[in-house]
Amino acid sequence: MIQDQLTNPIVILFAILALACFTACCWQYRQLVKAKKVITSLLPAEQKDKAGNISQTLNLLVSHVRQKIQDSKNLRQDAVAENKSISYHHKKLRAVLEVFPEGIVILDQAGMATFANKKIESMMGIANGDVIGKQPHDWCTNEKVLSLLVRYEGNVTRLRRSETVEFSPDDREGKTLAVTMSPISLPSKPEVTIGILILFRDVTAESMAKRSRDDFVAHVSHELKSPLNVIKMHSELLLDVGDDPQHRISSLNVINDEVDRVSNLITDLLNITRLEVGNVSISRKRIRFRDFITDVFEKMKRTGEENNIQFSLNLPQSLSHLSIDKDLFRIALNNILSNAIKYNKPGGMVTMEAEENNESIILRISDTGVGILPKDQKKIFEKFYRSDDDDVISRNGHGLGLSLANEIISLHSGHLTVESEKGKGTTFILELGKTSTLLKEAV
Amino acid sequence: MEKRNILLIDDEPHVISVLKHFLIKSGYDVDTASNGLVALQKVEKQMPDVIVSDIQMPRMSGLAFSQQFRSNFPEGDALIIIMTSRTERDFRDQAGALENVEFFEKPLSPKKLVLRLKEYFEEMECPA
Repeated sequence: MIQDQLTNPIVILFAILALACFTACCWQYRQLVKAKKVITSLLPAEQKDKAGNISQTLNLLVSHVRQKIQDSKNLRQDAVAENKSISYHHKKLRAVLEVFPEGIVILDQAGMATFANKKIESMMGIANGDVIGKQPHDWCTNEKVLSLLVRYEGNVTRLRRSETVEFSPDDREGKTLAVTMSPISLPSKPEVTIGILILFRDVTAESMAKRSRDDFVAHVSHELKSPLNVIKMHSELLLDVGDDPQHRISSLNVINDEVDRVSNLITDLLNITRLEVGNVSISRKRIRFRDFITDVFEKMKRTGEENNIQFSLNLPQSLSHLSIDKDLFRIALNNILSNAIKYNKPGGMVTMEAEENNESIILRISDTGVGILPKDQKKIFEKFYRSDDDDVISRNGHGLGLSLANEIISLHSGHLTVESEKGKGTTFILELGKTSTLLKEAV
Repeated sequence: MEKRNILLIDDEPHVISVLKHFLIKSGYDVDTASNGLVALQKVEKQMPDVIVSDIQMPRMSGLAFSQQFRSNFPEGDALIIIMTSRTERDFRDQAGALENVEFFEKPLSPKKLVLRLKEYFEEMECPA
């Protein structure tokens, strides 16, 4: 830092001026005192009066010079104080730029880096010391970034407003960084660009959130428009086929089913969105868990029996009471049970069993249906995931039911897992801690 | 004059059945496929004049099919009509880069589709 001060041209200039001024004044003062003595000793008596006048003038001159010397001393002290202040602010500015969470590089008018903070190393994989004093093409290896940085090479004054590009660093897959180039100008001359500020920001999280939001909107839109499309087409068909009763009944049935499909989708979407944003009102109550799951199972059984499915409920004589949100838990169990019915084979079986140990209650909901391919088992809890398996494609669904069930069970600090064999059936295992069924904070 | 051939690609059987009804009634030959992969096999056997396809389908999407089709048959001049929604922007942008592709907004009116096909074939027969 001392070295920085010594090499600061402003400080050096001040010092030289002050020293020159001081030396000149001292010399003048000595010369004047000497001249006064010589003149007085050499003059004859009749000229003493005149000499007295000259002496007075010289005295005035001497006091003036003395004042000048004092001023010069003050000037020198001010210059030293100013230098200390500049140096302090310089250090402070550097310290601020160093702790910045973003990578910073400053280019001068010739495009040479005059500053780079340490953060640049984690962003661009190059030490800041290897950036300073160099042109962008000497330190930037990413082509996309380089094409931005050299856009104003040799003529930075043409950069009038910030420009940004996003890029993935060559060595780190999945990372997204944004580099922004902004013109630097003095407040007194805003129209003149004297350098460029380059800011590197990690925008991976923002970018992923945006992508996931776009995917979600595209999925929802597709899932909503598909049944609306069918409804629209069958409405036109109804107008076209006139009074043909066979066509009319068939189209009306399709329209009826598709309206249910839209309605269920909207309900699931609202529930899942409310759970995710955490503004769902949760009412925790200590309930008789055995009675509750029996009730859910019996209601679902009525739907399933219409589809020629057999049901079996095997519960211990008693189960501990649990603190759960009944309405949410009913949605989760209904979704798992309705899948067990939907993906079953004609005449198949749906079984619900429970067991209890010291720590938890474990529910097993099994079916003898089409089963889930191993590649799909990890993905079935993802929002909107639907397998491309023929057995799945041939049945209606929008890929939200299990995602919602999983979300609700997680909210109860429980775990939902799946075991399945293609062609033989599937078992969903739901484990609920007896002491941890207090709901987690929805996040 | 020989009947024009339309290939319908959609994983939604209800969509296929209604469009088929309107197209056959308008005098077209109609072939159907439940996804892009099946459609690629069908075009090998018979080249359609127009392909009407959904965009999101299992196995092979309408976009992947269109790209594959144009690459397999660079000389093929079949019009591709993609049924899509406005929010499927990525798909639209990519499919829009292909030649001779049009979009029909969902929910789709079968009558409007029939009108567009009529107009398209008239333009082909009497180019302005």
